[in-house]
Amino acid sequence: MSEQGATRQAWRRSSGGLIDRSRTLPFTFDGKSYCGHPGDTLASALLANGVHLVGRSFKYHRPRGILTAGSEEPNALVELRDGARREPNTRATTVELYHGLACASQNRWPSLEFDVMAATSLLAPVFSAGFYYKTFMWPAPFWEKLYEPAIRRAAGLGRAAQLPDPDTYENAWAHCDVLVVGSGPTGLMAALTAGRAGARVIMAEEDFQLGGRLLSEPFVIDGQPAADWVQSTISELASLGNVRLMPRTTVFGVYDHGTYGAVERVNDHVRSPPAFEPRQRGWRIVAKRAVLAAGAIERPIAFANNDRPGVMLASAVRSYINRFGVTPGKRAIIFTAGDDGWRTSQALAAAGADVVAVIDPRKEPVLLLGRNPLKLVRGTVVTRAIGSRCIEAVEVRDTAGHRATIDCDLLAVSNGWNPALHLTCHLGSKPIWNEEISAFVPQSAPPGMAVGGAATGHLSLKEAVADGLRLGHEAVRDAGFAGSARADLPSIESDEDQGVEPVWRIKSSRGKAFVDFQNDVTTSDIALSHREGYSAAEHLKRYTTLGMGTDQGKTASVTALAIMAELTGRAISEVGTTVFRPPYTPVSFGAIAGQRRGSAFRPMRRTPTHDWATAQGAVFIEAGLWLRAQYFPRPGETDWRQAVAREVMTVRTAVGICDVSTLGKIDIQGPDAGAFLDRVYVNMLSTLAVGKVRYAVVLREDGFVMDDGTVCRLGPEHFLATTTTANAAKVLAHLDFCHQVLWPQLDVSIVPVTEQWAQISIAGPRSRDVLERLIDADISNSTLPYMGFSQIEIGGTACRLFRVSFSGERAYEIAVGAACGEALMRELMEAGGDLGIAPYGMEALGVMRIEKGHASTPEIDGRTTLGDLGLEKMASRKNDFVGRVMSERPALVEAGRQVLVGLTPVDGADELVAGAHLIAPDNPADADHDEGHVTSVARSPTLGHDVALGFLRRGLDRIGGHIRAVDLLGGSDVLCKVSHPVFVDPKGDKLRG
Amino acid sequence: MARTALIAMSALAGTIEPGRFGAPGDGPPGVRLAERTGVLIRHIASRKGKVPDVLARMSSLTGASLVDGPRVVMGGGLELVGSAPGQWLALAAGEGTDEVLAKLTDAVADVASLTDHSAAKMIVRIEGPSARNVLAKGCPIDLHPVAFQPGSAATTQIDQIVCQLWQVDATPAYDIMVNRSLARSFWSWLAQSATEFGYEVSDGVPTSSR
Repeated sequence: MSEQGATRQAWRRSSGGLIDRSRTLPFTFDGKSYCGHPGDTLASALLANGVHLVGRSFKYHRPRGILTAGSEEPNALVELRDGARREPNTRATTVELYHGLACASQNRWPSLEFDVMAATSLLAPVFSAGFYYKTFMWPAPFWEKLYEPAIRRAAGLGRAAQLPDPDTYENAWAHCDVLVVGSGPTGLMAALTAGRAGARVIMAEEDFQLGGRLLSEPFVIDGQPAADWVQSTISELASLGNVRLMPRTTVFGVYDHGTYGAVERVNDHVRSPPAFEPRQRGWRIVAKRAVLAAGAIERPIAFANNDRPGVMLASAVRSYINRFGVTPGKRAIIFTAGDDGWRTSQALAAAGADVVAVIDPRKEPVLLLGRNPLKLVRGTVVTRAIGSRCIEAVEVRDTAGHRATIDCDLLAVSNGWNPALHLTCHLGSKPIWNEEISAFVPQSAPPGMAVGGAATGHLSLKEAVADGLRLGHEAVRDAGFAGSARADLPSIESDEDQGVEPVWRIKSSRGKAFVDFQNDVTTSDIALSHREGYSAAEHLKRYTTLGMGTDQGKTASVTALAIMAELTGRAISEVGTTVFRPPYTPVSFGAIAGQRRGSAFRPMRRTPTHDWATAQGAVFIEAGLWLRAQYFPRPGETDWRQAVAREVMTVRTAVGICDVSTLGKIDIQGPDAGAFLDRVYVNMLSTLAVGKVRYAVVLREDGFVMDDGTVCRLGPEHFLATTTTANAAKVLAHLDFCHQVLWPQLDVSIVPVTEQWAQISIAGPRSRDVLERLIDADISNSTLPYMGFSQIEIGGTACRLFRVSFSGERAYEIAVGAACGEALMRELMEAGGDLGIAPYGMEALGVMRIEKGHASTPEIDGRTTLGDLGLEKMASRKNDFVGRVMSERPALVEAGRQVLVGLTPVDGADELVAGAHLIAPDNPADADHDEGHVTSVARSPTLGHDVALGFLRRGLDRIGGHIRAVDLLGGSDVLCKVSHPVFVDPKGDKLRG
Repeated sequence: MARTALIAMSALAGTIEPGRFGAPGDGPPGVRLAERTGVLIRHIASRKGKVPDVLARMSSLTGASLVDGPRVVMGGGLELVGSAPGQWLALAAGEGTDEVLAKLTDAVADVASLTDHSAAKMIVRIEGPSARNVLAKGCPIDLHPVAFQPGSAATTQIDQIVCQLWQVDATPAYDIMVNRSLARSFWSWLAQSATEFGYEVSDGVPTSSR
């Protein structure tokens, strides 16, 4: 970097402004080196170096410069940083300059100065509003393959990083009595008033310096320069323990119940975030009251070539001069339709610029600054900016039609102000037109929010400060806060005139007159939209794309509506306005996602034996939030199926163990526990003996099956119900609902205990042998038969032993406190070592339940009844239960329903597919002949061929017959034999033995 | 016969180690973190219409005035955390916990349902000057002293994880109880959230500070 050349900031004033000239910050733009100072934005630093051309526009690739000095900037969009941190469409006006900042212009090729695509301007008549849709209509197939990719290459702003973001982001919550949005005169006064009263105050400011417009205007408050008053006020606020100042924080959205979304740019102002710190924080701020003091945004005027670099909003010119110590032009013209623009002439003169003329279209402008030797031209308008890459002159025209050309290098434009009322719309309020200031103002605000100062159309400093004081008091009072210390209204001598007679477009001018700079929407696009029938505010936006993009039309929308009003001969109030949604300015996905990235996207539930399974080499699978062992591969096994087949055969011939802790467990106690269970389960459970387990089913109120599981009676008034893993939360909520809403008179308590217990299934012919080595008590078949329960001890630790089986083998489930789950697993493995014990996972579990015909989630899919599942005999006939009446609806009991059957391929080599449709052998494979579908498929290592479960119309009448399993998607058509759904040990001898 | 007793393991075993982590600094860390181990927990669910009985009996058992609400009170070797209407979690740690829990059972067994939650939960103590700033990164409730003080408790969620949270003292120190299966997810959120302030992990919370 050539320091010599880089340090020269030709357009920097020698003094003044809120920048630190004692320090220099080098930066690069398009590879060229420049320097700025702390306190600069990228935009002010570029201007200090005489860089006016900053980018090329979206559609026409026109040269663009810097229009504003704030977050409303539509033009000066750059790619900030590079590599993984590259951020396209970053507004140079909001980027705080830092040492080593590197950025590049966008949308130009081969260079910013000479851009090939600028030739599209010559084709402008083709590229009018809606041109994509009209021009590239035919032939239709070309749209996707040819037109759209070509258009996207030509248009589109900036390039995304394409690499994972290396930085971290956070979410955070904050709470306060009063949230103040904006730190200008209104915001500072409101925060000071509320803060002195002792309320908890948060003041959020999107800029990196607090003070709002006070940083840019030569106001005098309490006899001192406004910037000094800002400093002393901030010092006092910072000294109050109850006030939190949040610069670099944009409140971007209003949500229900006083919740506000905000993004804090914690480390956007440094090259890369310091270690341990996030890049940005997404805040949710909960405030009892809020004061919106977001200020106002100045409006441009639509005249030909009004987008040339060097055409700047008048207020922005004052910001660059007063706040940043930069003179953006040496020979300036002011084009203003209101009194406010005149104040820019004073600033320019003070900065040593030659103010050539003030062009004011009003017949009788109020002349505030008569002392200045200005060339005042009344009743005149600027018709055209002249110059290619930067403004060189303007063409003016008086009421008589006389034209003249005046040389200049800066044109400051002022057309009145739009209150920044965006947040007031977020919960549905529509702004209304205020004739006095010719702008939309808030009609109402969301509950808890009050609007003050320029944001509500009170544009003078006196009004702003008075609003702040009043709203600060009201907010404290309404927040229910008793504090009473008060602030006094500071003395303000100035009383700026605010008269404005906006001119929205200068007609009959040659060249494009832009309304929405970012989307390249011109006055003629709006006229076209009107001609083609899209004159409603919302239609205008969609048809022309006006108001879209990073700036969301902050400098464009009202102008467009005013032009549409003119075109349709209506008042602006009749045209109405589009409303604003969050976010106020762009928010990164990082700030929204916060810490929830990668594996932290959602919490992960680990089983009590997770680490043990990991050490065994388990492959895991996500089951809801749970991470479960899927299978345990061994050396030499090349395919997961080999591991699964081995695990199944281990259980069928020896003994296997599996962590089933994820099944839901609900503890039910109380004198009415049995009666309660009788009402929520289809089977009678109050008759269950203590120490016994029963299979049980819950129906939804509409009569379909919700879930299945077991219920064990631990004591006379104490039951334990289990649920499937998937439905644990749903069944618990259902039980709670039934108790709290339907039968609060029942004396029963329902407590989830899933997390308390590590539950290990031990299954296989040798399972009892293993357990007898660990348990002193008698667990013989006569003492603990199938569906029995016993309280036991292992190594002095109390455990629960259930004789239940999902695999169809002799099997048990042992429950122990979750902290001891891993120790129990190790004990079991050691005790069964010589018996061939091995762990099995979810896949083997699934294979064995299909072999045994047990319905699971694929069968209990919310569309099946007890009868469909072959469980109708379970339903109690004696008592009523949830879902009984609805389950007896005619359609749910008709004979032609599809019911659960078993399916095996006639040719044992054939493979079945879950999801295949069941078609009779002689019928065509189409929807009219669809008689059911396959729900679950497994390759049975026990039988040596595929087995499947499925639902078949009148299935029970067709046992022994044939059906085809047709999968048109995969192209298979397999002839199957229909059977009962239990393939292995249909009589259940093994599990009872 | 099982040759040895079944050893209980912390859900964070292998995940955390004592030491100082995150942003370095000469001064004390922003927060100190420790798992509270060896705590026995009973869930108390008041039976129908028996809340006044539970309150009266628990108060006479502990000498502390238990309330039906989001508060934590201590006494009689128990820490009682209000977790839902008519429901509390009773924590006992240190010497004589079996006796303490037996007395609890005797006192309320006919007016409340008791369930063992000892292994269902993981409790982390977080204390230090930055404790509130750390918790603000995931906890939606207001922990400012005007809204939440020692003795305050809440059933809430932190970073999508349901938890019980209560304030231990004005250091400030907070205890957070989450389901065991979520212990590691919770810890990884906690460690990331504390890293900016620098944090120290200690072996455990000494019994005396309970």
